[in-house]
Amino acid sequence: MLLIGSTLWGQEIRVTGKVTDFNDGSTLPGVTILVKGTTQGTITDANGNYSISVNPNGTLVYSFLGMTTEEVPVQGRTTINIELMPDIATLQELVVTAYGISREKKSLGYSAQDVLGESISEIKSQNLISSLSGKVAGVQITTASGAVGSSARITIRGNSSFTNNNQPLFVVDGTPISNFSTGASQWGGADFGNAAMDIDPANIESITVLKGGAASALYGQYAANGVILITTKDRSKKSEPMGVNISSSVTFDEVYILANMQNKYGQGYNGGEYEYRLYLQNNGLTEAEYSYQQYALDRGFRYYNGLGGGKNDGTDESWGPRLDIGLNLPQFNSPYTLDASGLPIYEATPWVSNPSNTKDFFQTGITYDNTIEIYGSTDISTTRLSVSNMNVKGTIPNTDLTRNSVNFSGSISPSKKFNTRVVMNYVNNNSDNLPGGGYDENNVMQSIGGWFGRQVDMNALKENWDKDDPFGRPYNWNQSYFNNPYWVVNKNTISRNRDRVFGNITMTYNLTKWLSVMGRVGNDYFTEFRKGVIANRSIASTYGGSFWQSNREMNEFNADLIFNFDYKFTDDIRVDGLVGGNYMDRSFKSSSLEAQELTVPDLYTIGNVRGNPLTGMYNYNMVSNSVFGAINTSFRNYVFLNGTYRVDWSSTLPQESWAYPYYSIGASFVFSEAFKLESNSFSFGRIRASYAKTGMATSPYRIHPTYRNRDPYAGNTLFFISREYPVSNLVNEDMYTYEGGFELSFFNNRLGIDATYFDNTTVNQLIGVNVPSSTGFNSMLINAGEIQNTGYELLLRLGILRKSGGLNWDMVVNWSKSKDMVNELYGDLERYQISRSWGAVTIDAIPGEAYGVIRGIGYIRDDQGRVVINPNTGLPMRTPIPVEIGNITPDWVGGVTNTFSYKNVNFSFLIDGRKGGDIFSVTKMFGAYAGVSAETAEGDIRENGLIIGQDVLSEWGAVFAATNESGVILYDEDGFAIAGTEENDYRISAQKYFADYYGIHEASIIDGSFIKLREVALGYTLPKSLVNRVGFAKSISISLIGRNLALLYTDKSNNIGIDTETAFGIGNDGLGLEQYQLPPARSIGFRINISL
Amino acid sequence: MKKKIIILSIIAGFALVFYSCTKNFEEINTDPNNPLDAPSANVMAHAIFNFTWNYFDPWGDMNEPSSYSGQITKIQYIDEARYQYRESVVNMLWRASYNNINDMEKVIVKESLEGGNPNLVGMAMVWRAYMYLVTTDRWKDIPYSEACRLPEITLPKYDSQESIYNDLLLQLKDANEFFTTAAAYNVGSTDILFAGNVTKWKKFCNSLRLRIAIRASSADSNLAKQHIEEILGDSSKYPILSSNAENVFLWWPGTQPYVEPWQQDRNTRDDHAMCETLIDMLLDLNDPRLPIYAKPAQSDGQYRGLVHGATPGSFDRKDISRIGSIFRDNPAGFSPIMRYSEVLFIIAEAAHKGYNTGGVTAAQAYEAGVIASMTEYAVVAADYDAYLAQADVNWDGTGSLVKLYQQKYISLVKNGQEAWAETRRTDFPLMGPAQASVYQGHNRQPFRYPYPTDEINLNFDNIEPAMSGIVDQFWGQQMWWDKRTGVN
Repeated sequence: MLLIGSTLWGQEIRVTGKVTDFNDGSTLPGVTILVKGTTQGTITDANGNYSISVNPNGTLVYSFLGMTTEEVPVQGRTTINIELMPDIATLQELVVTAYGISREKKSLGYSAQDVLGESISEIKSQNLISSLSGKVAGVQITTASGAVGSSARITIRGNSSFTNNNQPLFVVDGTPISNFSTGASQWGGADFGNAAMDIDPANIESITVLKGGAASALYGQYAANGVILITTKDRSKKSEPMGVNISSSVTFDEVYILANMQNKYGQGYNGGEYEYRLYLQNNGLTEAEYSYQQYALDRGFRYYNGLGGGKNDGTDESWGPRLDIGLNLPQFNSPYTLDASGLPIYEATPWVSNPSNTKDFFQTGITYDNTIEIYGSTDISTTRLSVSNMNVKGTIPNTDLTRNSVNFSGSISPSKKFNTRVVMNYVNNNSDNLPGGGYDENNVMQSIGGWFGRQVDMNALKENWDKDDPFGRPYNWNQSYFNNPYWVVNKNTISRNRDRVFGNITMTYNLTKWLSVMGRVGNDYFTEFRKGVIANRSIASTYGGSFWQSNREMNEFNADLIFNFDYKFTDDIRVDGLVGGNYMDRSFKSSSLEAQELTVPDLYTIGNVRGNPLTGMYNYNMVSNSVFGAINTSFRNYVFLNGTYRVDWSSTLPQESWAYPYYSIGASFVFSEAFKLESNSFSFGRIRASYAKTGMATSPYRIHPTYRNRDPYAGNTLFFISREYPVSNLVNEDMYTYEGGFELSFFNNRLGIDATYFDNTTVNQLIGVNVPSSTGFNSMLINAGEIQNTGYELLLRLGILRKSGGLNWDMVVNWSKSKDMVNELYGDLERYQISRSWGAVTIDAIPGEAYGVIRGIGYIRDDQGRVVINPNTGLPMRTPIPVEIGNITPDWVGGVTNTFSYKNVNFSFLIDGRKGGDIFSVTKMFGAYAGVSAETAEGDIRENGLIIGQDVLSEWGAVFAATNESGVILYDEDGFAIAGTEENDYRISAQKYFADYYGIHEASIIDGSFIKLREVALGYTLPKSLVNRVGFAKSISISLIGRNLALLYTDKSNNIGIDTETAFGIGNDGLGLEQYQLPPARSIGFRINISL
Repeated sequence: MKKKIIILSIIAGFALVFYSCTKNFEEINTDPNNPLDAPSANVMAHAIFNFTWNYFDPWGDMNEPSSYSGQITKIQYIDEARYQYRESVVNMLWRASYNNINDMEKVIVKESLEGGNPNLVGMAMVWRAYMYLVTTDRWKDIPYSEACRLPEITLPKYDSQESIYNDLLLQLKDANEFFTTAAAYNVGSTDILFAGNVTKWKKFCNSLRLRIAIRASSADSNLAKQHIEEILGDSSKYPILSSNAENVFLWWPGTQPYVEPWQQDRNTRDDHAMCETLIDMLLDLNDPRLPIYAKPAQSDGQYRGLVHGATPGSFDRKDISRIGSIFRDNPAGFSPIMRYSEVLFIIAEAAHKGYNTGGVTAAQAYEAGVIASMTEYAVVAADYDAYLAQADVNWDGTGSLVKLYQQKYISLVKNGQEAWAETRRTDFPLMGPAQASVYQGHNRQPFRYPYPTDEINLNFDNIEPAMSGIVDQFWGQQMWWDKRTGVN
């Protein structure tokens, strides 16, 4: 028997070897090794070693979660060492779901997408949210501007709310944190960023985006717009007893995408050759009698005091004389002498262009980012400490941001039954000066990017900003409207300092094998100080300067008690889930002080106020209680059914409506496994579907009518009735989500497709609908409206080249399309105004149309699309009332990431973009009005004037309006001018045409499509041999990184050349509006990572 | 099994704990920042401040009414003066009217109840009537009978200007009855207009009624006659403004944020100057008010106005007279809601029309009106006597009303809404459209103000009939009281 046995078994040989990770060479414990065609197998030990008996002609199959499965023929060898490659298609097999529970992705009835920590910490963005751009299907990111500390807005599956900011809930290690934000408004202020930017990407293990209602149903009312689940690094999974990682980077920022400006004509009015010739003609002069030089001096531009004391020197427009043709004119930076009374006489100096003057204002921004991470573990505990410092010098002079953060996590498991984990974060986020934004003189772009003299030499402003002009005023190019931009950034500062602590303590106790209880207490607290200063002698300053400062304090406390169960009834049937409760208490306090005038100039204390200080305060508190449960049933690991149920009690609702329940159900079916379809070409297939109802409450104090007050007037408090009429029968909002999708992968997971269709309907929105003000109120709070978001998401993963030790090429494509339809509003209400801009421009929700219709005054066109011209003026006729001129919702957004690796070198780049989504651009509108934008001096329109339909708007053509026999224009019954047949031949000056442009909002609509080269990284990991020779480190890698490298495509309607990725903070307020946005920055830098 | 029971009871206990926690919810959701009720006097103060702030500031007055009447004009960014208006300004003014009217409705209801303050009822009724008058004189037909009735009425209908005028006169007649000098009802310094002086309120009430009546006189002479004669026939029951000390001026505190709006604007902008129409008139009449109303031009020290709605770039700003310091440079300056001189000019006109003015002749009242306006600016007797002696000024109270209209027009400076209303009613001074008008084919300054787009967007069915006949936003419909012919 023994002999027979040994003969039988003697055909086998013992193979030993080591399994390592292809990426970092670390050993892989727990790799399953099977002899192909048998159930015989083993796993690697803690050091990655294995030993197995196998027929010399057999084949070994190595598999490990997250790695490609390798089949290796033994071919008689007794030692087989193998490197496993990460498998991008199955890498995210496990995803984190609500309450931090990791679940097999295939069991979910909904779509959830992971982003690994590396992909956001490699090329760090100041704002974590910006790093997600193009990486998750169904997610749209809009970074407000290129200014330091600016906000980034994120929407998941479109805008579903009229009034909420449509932002998802941020959850860090199981506890919600605030993403409180204050952006610049359209009309000024600074962008103070959004609070999620306090999270240092270096601490992030992974981010999971829970997209649908089913994914977020468990998180309750704040999760209606989805959830961003952030898991911080926890080194307990690594087998190393301790380690140290150091990461350092420096990046350089340069502004890019600046508006297209003309460089042919300078400051002033009526300076073009066209006006000159008209003048000669009207006055019977010849060029010889009255030269262009003399005309320019007399009627175009002549500097004296920047207030109109010369000729048009108080203007901030560029309709002045021609540049670079040898004219000499007195200018603000010309040398001067003083006359007997001490008044200056400016010399005439060459009138020449300064094409890069706007760009010259900006400097190279520098970001230093250093992180050190220390971690260690014992049998019963793990600890990790990370300290980081980020220091940003902005592209706008004298703007900055410093973020210091400390992240600590530790866990202790004194017994197998009990585990406790603590995560604590401290962040200090400080800026001594944040740039002003919006339509405000404190936003430098309002002048240098809009109302400007195109000839202005920026260097003169830079060198002299702290000097006075001959009249004893701060040196500037103009004294009417603007401060010197360098004065603005150096004197009129806005600072912000935020200290924040957030974290939680989690205790888990295993009651039985299948039941555990978890208690978690989490808190997020921050205090923030802001101060804004306008220096004495600034243009807008009256007496001594002014300042305001505010303090705000936010605390959100969450406590959870959750029972988790996981019970296997038979080998085929398994039921798991949780039952729990949550208590949430959020409070906010703010107070502010303001002195609009000061007694002692530039002493910014409240005691120094001239007149009365202005004060303000606002406090709120809201509480909610919730109970919830979730159950997941699986059959044979290929049929999965999930269900959740939750009830919230929210203090913000009236008593009758305090409680509101919601739920979700989902199913997933892995048909590849059920029908045993796996083959070499087909690896995996499943379909999924889910349905959820989720609810949302409102903000506090909206159910009773109240009086509001203004600052006391001569000692009398001024009270008025709140202009929003409240309703007492308020109920919660509901959102219904249907979602279906499939996931397929082929060729050993080299090709993966994940597609989702979703249909969300949000009803009973708590909206302050505008009512006619003749009711006495401006809006009325009601439960009304229905928005339906339907769309597709597609995620494609391609392992194009795979060769161990050779060239590897992976590609990931994210694409999504969301249609945000407004189905109904309230009663016969025709539109809800989401926001408004200049003139009649509004962004509206209109029943039967996509969310975000832009309305404003449009051109009148004939049936061939030709613009109708007023025969009396030569200017376009306008619609008498606002009409639809655009829509803000993009057709699609997407991104493509390509990753290449060859031996120790890896290279990746991300291209992302969006199609459609209109923008009303104020830079374009006033750029035209002010004669600074390139289109105002195209061709010879300032030399010869222009005819609409020929020289401008030629793509449409133009006809005169119809008139009666006495020349009176004919209108239809709605007041729209009727088109005639005669083609327009009325020649007008460019200045007249572009001054009128401002009244026709349609002219300033831009298609927001763009494609950007968002990220590029080139990394090199030093070979082990080299690292070993260095001695002190385990591994060293260096990389060259770039962000926002190039704008590859923008629509031709964007002839002003602005960045169409624009927002004012994270609210709905700035959707589809651009107003002197601070230009974005292109970043290039280096990073070095060292593991000790 | 036992375990299951334990677990279930833990869960049940949990649910109970959470449920019982809602007992503080009402307290938690009680607004700590804003009261459910506020003293009516403070609401009144806000309405007086806020309405005046909006209608007497550069947007509400200088850019448009004062420009349409040829008194002030823009010298930079000449948009509004040539009818390139801003929708947001129109909407803002409309809101300033109805929001404040709504607050007055609340005050009237609350103070009419047992224990209320009759003086506050009277003040709120007068101020409401004043706000309605300004509003209807801008837009003509406006919501009135159904306005400010939320939540019962969400889409108020529009009423004819004629019906509004009729009712405003009755409202003021009623309001007069509420005022009482009883100390218990003295509003005190919270009355930011008259510091609790009820007599002044009463005088404002009746003088305002005179203003409304005289404006209605061309359209409905009987109505005007009835109200004017009632007031002038019983001066103890219906006292009216009797000196410049009683001028209805809102005096601004003069410190931020409550600085006189024209001065506030001047701090940062130099967009406005004097219009040629008024300056030429003052020059022709050798008017002693000229150096008070205007500053000499920077370039040559001459007084020179700019043509209304001028073509941008067609002039030098330094050649144009700026607005006089008394109106433009005093942070603690005033907004003139109604002047004593206006009352005298109304009486003069009423006497000229043959109404019973209690023995005062047109000539007497006219001369007193001119003197009242002069003494408002401390012009000395010798100067105004010489002025009155001029042929172009001297009026015997018969024949043409042009001299009366002219003196009234001159007296109304800084009260753009009144000046514009007078130019529309009297066609004096005769002004064509802006030099650089964006609309062609008109022969007069605007008849009306564009309706707000908010109202067009939200209340279209009701506003549509009121909009019929409007041409180029500003013309096509004359005010009910504007009986001029041949104007367009």
